[in-house]
Amino acid sequence: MRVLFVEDSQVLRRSVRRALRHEGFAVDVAEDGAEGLAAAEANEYDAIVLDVMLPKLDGLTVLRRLRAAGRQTHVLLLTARDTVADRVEGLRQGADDYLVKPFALDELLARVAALCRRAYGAKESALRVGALDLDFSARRVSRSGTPVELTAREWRLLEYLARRLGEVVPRAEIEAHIYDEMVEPMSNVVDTAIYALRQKLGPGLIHTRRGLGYVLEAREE
Amino acid sequence: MKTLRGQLTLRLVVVGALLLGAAGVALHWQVKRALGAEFDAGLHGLLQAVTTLTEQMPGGKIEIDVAHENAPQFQRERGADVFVLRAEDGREIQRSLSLCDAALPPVAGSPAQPEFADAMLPDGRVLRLAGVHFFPAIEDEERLSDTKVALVVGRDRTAMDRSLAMLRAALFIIGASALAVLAIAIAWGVNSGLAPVRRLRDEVCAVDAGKLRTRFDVAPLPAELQPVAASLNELLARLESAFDRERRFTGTAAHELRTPLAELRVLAEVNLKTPATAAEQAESWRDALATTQRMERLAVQLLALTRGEDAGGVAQRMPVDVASAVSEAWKQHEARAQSRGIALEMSLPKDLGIPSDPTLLGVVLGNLCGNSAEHAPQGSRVRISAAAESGAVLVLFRNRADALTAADMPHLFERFWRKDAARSDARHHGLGLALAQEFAVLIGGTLDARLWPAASDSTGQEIEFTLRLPCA
Repeated sequence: MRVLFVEDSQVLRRSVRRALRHEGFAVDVAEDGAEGLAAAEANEYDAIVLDVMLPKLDGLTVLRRLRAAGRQTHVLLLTARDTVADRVEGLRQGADDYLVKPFALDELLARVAALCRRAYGAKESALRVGALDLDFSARRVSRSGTPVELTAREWRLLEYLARRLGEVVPRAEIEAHIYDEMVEPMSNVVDTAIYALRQKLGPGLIHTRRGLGYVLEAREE
Repeated sequence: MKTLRGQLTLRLVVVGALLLGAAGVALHWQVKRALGAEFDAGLHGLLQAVTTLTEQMPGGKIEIDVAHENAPQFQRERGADVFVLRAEDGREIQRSLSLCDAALPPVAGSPAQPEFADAMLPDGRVLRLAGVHFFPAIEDEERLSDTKVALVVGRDRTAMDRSLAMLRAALFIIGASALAVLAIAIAWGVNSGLAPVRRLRDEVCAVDAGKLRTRFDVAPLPAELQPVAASLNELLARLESAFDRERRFTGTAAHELRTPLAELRVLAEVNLKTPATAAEQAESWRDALATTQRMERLAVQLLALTRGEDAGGVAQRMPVDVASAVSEAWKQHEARAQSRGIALEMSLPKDLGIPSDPTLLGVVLGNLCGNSAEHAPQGSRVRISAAAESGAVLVLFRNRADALTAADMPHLFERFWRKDAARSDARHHGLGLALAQEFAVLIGGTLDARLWPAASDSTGQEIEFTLRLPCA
């Protein structure tokens, strides 16, 4: 899951990025509205956390331009203004959620995760693929009843594949959604991660389509 | 409780009652006089009639011919008309039957001008008397007797008195009714006359902190209330702008506090939640320190502003040397200016002294120096000069300010205004210039700013702050 965090406070940018990465999100940051808008238009994000008061372009303008350009990326507005009028204005401009500063970090993480889930129209919080049981809300996975330990990023990768169960997910798309700009382009992070995930989950679940991508489904090769 | 309506009504009713009373008394007096004159005329006629009936008989006896057909009323016991005829020495010669045995007081007058008097008889009759001294005629002769007699005639005035009493009663009843009607009319008139006051009162009462946008419609009000409503409108306008300013200020202050609070909270939570490398930890502490310092600056400036608001009139006055005050203020910002490569060009006359408050002046100069050190472009020049000018000392701060526009100028001294309002991690809160201007006013001076085309080239511009300090 790839998230864009647009915030002019350097402290918040650094801290929230660290927390989101720790949760397995791929995080890009931008420090002003113009930079944020450019990043949002250039990349496919699953969610954008947008501060309202930003230099160059304010958050609401960024949001309006994104929507005008037909981008339906879920946006969480982050602001120090907490009057009802401010909230209404934000939601009217097309924001999906609204969080007032100062906020609890856990709440921000939970809301970002919820927005990412909504990005795939998923409402069910559990999924069974063959012998694999996925619990999205608890972020747990087990195979034939045995819990499987995954890193945050491995979980995001599995979740991303699971949300598109049975579909071939191109490698580039995985790279775009699971990895942020910190990752070297041309690296084989996706192959490495898929390999690690296969090792943990066991065979018969993640399949490679040569030249196309990967697919998660319960099928013996 | 005293009310305008009650007092007006009471006063008008009292005046009305006095006028009605005076009119009643005058009317009564007039009627009484007319009735009395008429009564006296009748009595005079009776006196003349009786006088002509008085004759000296042959043998010298004087008597009144009461058997005469002209005077039957005298023969009735306790009748309305009475007379008594006395000799000059007071001896009674004759009295009418109607008088019975009551005594009449002597009343003297001439035939041309008889005397009138009132008397009450022991039997309860109230009489009007007319008396005359005269020489009676001698029967069947053309001359008068030489014996003078005193004749007193009386007539019962009860009927007239009753008429007057009825008139008084009628006047009283009519007056009281008129007064009652008048009171009601006055109450109604005052009430409807004061209706605009009441409406204005209701409108004023309806204004509370949330309805400061209310303005009273002045045009339909009576002339006396128009200045009141106009003054109220001005007061409301001032209140509204003060409230707005206060609301904006509180809102902005809250906003300025929320961002550093959010930073501190997230910093703490992230460090509790995620493992950190030594470098990350050190960075977190540095961030926390920077954020805390920013909050500290904000708190100090907010406190200074609040104290400045309370400090009206407590500014001290002592001799201050302008040159050394400016140098002192610049020292606090010298390091920052040097780190940004800013050159200072100071031209301050040595002998400029003014009476001022050194602490408040220090805050003003410090903020102006800080503003120049912070906002002049890197590597540029800041010029500070001072000059005496008609009863004041001008201190001028000038530096390049290419980013500012004419539209920014009205906001320059607003609290929390920053050129880039959204920068949460700016080193400054936009309070410095507001503070400087407010304190300049406190010490009796003014602080203004203007944009000038840059002296060195034609494209850039410079900002000049003018601090005008009174010399006396």
